[in-house]
Amino acid sequence: MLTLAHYLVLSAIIFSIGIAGVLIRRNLIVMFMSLELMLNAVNINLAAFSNYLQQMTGQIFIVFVMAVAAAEAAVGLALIISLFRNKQTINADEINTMRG
Amino acid sequence: MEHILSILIFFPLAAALFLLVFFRGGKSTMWAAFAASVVEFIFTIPLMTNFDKTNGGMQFVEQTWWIKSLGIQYYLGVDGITILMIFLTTLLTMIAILGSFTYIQKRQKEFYIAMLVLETGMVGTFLALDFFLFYIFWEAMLIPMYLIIGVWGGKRRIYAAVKFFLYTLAGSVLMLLAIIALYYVHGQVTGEFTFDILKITSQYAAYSKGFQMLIFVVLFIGFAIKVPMFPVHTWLPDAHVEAPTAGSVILAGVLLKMGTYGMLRFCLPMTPYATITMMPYVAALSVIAIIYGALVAMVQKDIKKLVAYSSVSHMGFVTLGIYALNQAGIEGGILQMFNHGIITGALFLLIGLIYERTHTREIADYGGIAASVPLYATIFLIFTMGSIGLPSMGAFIGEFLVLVGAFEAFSDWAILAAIGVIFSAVYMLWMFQRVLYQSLNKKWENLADMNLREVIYIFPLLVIVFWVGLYPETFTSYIHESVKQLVEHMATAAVAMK
Amino acid sequence: MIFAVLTLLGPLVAFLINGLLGRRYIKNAAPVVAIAGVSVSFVCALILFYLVSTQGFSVDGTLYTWVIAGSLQVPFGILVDPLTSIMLIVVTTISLMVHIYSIGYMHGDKGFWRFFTYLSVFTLSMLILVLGNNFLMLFVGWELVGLSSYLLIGFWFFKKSAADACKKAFVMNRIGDFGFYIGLLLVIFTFRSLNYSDAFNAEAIHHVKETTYTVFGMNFSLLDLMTFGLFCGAMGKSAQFPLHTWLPDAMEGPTPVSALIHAATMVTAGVYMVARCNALFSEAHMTSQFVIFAGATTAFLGASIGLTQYDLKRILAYSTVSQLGYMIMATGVGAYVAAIFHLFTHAMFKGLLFLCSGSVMHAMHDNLDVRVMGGLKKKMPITHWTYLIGCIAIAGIPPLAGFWSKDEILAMTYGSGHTFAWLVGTGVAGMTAFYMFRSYFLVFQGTPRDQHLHDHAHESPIAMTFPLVFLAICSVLVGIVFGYPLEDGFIHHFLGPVLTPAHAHAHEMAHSTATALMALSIAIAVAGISVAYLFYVKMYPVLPEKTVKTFKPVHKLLLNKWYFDELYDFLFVHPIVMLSSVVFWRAIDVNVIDFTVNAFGRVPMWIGSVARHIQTGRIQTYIFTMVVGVIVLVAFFYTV
Repeated sequence: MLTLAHYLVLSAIIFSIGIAGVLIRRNLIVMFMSLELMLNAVNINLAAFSNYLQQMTGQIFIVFVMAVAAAEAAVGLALIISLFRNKQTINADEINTMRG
Repeated sequence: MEHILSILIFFPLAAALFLLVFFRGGKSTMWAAFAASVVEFIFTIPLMTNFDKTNGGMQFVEQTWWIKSLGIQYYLGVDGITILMIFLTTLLTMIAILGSFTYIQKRQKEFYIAMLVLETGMVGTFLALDFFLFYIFWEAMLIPMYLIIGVWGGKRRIYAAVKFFLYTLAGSVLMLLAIIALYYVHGQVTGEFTFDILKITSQYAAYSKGFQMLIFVVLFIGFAIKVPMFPVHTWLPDAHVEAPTAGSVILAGVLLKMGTYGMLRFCLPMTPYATITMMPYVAALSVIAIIYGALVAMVQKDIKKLVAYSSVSHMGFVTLGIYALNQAGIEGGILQMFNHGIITGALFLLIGLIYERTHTREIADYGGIAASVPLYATIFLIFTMGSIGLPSMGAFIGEFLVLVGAFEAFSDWAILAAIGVIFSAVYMLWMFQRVLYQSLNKKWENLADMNLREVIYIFPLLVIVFWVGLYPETFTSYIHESVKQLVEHMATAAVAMK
Repeated sequence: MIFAVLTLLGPLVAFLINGLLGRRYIKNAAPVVAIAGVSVSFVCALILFYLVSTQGFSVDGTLYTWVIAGSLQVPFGILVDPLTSIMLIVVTTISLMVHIYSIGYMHGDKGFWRFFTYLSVFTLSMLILVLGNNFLMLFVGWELVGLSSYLLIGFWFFKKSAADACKKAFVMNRIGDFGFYIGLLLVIFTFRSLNYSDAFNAEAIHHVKETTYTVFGMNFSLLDLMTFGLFCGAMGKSAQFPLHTWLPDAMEGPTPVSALIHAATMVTAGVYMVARCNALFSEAHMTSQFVIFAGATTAFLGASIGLTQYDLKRILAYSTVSQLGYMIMATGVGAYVAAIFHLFTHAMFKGLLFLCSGSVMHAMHDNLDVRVMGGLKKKMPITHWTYLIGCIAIAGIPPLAGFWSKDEILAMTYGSGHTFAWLVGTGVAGMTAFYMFRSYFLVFQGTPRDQHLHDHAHESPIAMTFPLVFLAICSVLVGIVFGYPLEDGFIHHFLGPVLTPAHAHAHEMAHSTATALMALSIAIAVAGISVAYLFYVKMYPVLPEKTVKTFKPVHKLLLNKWYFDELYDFLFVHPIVMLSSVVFWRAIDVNVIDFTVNAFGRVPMWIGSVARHIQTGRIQTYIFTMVVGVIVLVAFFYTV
């Protein structure tokens, strides 16, 4: 029997993988994917609690998160593409024009 | 006539949006912007003709709640003090836009949008009767002006723009503090929390003397920066020198008047005790500004800087008149605000149009150009003489009224201020001589004289200068009643003070 | 009223037509318009004079309310009384003559139409000055004649000397106007009105006679202060010591201008003003003393400098300064009628002399140095004779104009007990006779000193000689017509009612004393002329050279105009420029205020320059910091 704890652990693991991915990897696409991973970890969390508490709010929220994620993906990928066009790279280390 | 004030405020903004969406720069944008400013100017005509000169209170009032829970209203009104300023604003914006057609070569669309947004800000500031609304317009004015200096300015435009912005921002932050303090104190006194300027004013007697003094000083510094008075005037020369012609015209013509307008609308009636106590000190500062401005103007090498410092001197007359706190002085101050707008605006336009041809503003680079541009020389001479305060032209009437008022209130300061009359002749004529007289600099032998467009935009200013000089009653009749009320208000306060 | 308005309208319309259409359309026809304008004024002035003198006609009316300052209302009003009508005659006559003269003199100049436009402006302004019925109108006219003077002195603006001179004239006048302004304010303060009728009200004056006024902590008599302020204006405009230095420089303008503005009309505005305010001045005893002092000093300074100058126009200019000193001195001793009378006669003969000098200049190719002239009497008979008449008139030989008015001034001064001023005045009369005839002998008598110039000399065209003849006739006649018998002539009866009769203050003089004084002044004039004859005809050039050598320092001092220009430069101009440039601008503005302002900017800049290193520009750094932060916060909140 899967308890709430299992879901939460899974979600925590996925979230950690996401954070690690964002922090460690230098490729913007990969970082972006890691970001999605984190969002989905949150979604798992929401679904788990929704089920546990027998309330629909969490699941409704998931739909919102997915919508935001989709929008974010669209904008983010567009940004990455135009960045690549300008800089010929998607390596995060090389994109440091904001350095103080 | 119902919503004429709202129309006056928002028409330029709407026109700016229209420009933003439907135009792409170039000739058509210029003409569209000019047309919008002309329409805006035409709107002021029914305002002027329907204005009831026998009523000193607010007219064409529009009042509705905006954010009710905080006591913020959308509250507009016009009285004798502001109506001339509205006229001046719409007139000068129109002329400044026409005067920029050849001067502005890059990002034309954005420039005209900035001008129109600026106009909304300026008109709104003069018309707002709610502190919150006033503050919004006040700040809204700052941004387009900052852009106009910073984007279309000269070589040191960034420095000048930032300096202008920070100086004025410092002033408006002080003003904001005072506004909030007044809001709370008024709320505590009456139990009604409101930003209504008239209501806050009417409760002046309830504010303690110490509080009034504090508010007065804070507001005064805020407005003095805008005027600008000595010693917070140093942003003006830089801003003027770097700003494009239209920017200088609006800056000198309208923005400086915001400071003195603020004093008339807020400092005087809201904190009358403090005003009466501080009167002689402000007079002293004004006299310093008059003489200091004139002396520093005398030794400038850049024509625009010279005119900028002369503004410090002329605006000193305005503050001197206002703080004389009598009918002649305040009327003179208001009239002088108007005259200074017209004359200095014209001088900047004239300097701008010759700069377009020569690309220099150094006085030493000129010499004798009266020989190659006779029409220009004549018009320049007229406005030079106007600036000096020659009778039959506007500034004389203004200065005369100011001195009459000031002499009654503080004769010694008035005598010192009159010395400014000598120096203004010295620096203007010396500049005039070095630029237009003497032997012709060979470089400018084939300088083109003013063209039709340039004559057209100078012409209304020329007419008004003489009109004010020969029959000032056309203009002063608007301000008599409002000033009378203000003077009576101050007199009652003075009695209560004892 | 209608004539008074028409007087103003003539030049106004001419000015507008010429000013707006002159450059494109009218061009060389400009004098027609201008002369038509001034002729209207001239005719109106004659009519007014006739009406005033025969029917006691007078006007004190308001055209419209001009300025409203609180309770003070200043009308745009017109006053015609005997004083005004005399001034109108002077102004319009000389103006008309100068207009006609200018057709010849300015012929072929590039700015022909411009010149006539300016002349119209001047005539208009001068008429406003004399026609106004209140102090503000006087001030308006006052400033506007200053403007026209500025424009006309700087007519040839491409010459640096002309550009300098016109600025100097305007600024010097402004210094005087500063005083005038204060005077105006005091008049408002005292009488709550600017109208002459309110201010010259004997009752009102009596009321404030003893009042004192505090300025900068010092107490002065109100009337003295007020009149002193007004007189400062007069000192500027009438070139009185110490503001006299602009007038000789003003000779940079075209000669007709010198005749019209800087000899006959504008510079006498100060005299007119003092005479107009006689009700105030005669009650202000301290100011009156000062007026006498200023007048006598100016008369002496002008004459002494005139002795040594070589430039024909400058000789005349200094003589103008000197004669203005006479007039001012006369107003100081209360001899207002004499002052106005002298103003009148002086306008005629000095206008004439200047126009003659213009004619000479024309013949001599714009050369003005009297040392290169000589023997012109054959070449230019009309100019010669008219100049001679002018010289005799100014020297004070009866029955020409100058005698009547000058003798009266001297007699009045003596009679009022100002013996020293009288002594100066008499001495100056001798000097005047000397240097005027010096110029006459050098220019017209003797042998030509520059044969080349002499050969090309010729009499001027009729447009120029007609005014000369006309003014010469005036110079001969006006004195005897208006001033005979002495102190009881037409002009005394005419002006007496408006100008406090001088003998109300002066001690009645014995008849024998008067005759003696008259004889003395004639003797002095004759002596001056004889000395000039001796120096410049009989013993020329030996005696003048010898004199110069003997009195070298004095001669140098006079030749350099007592070093007034240099003194003012040293005392005022340089210190003020230095103060403004070094102290006010460079030190205070740039180094104190702007430094402070920039410091406000520099502090955040410095903080930023340190803090900028935190911003690495790498997104991972930011995320890492954020994660650490979240962990720290979570840990913090869950442990507490």
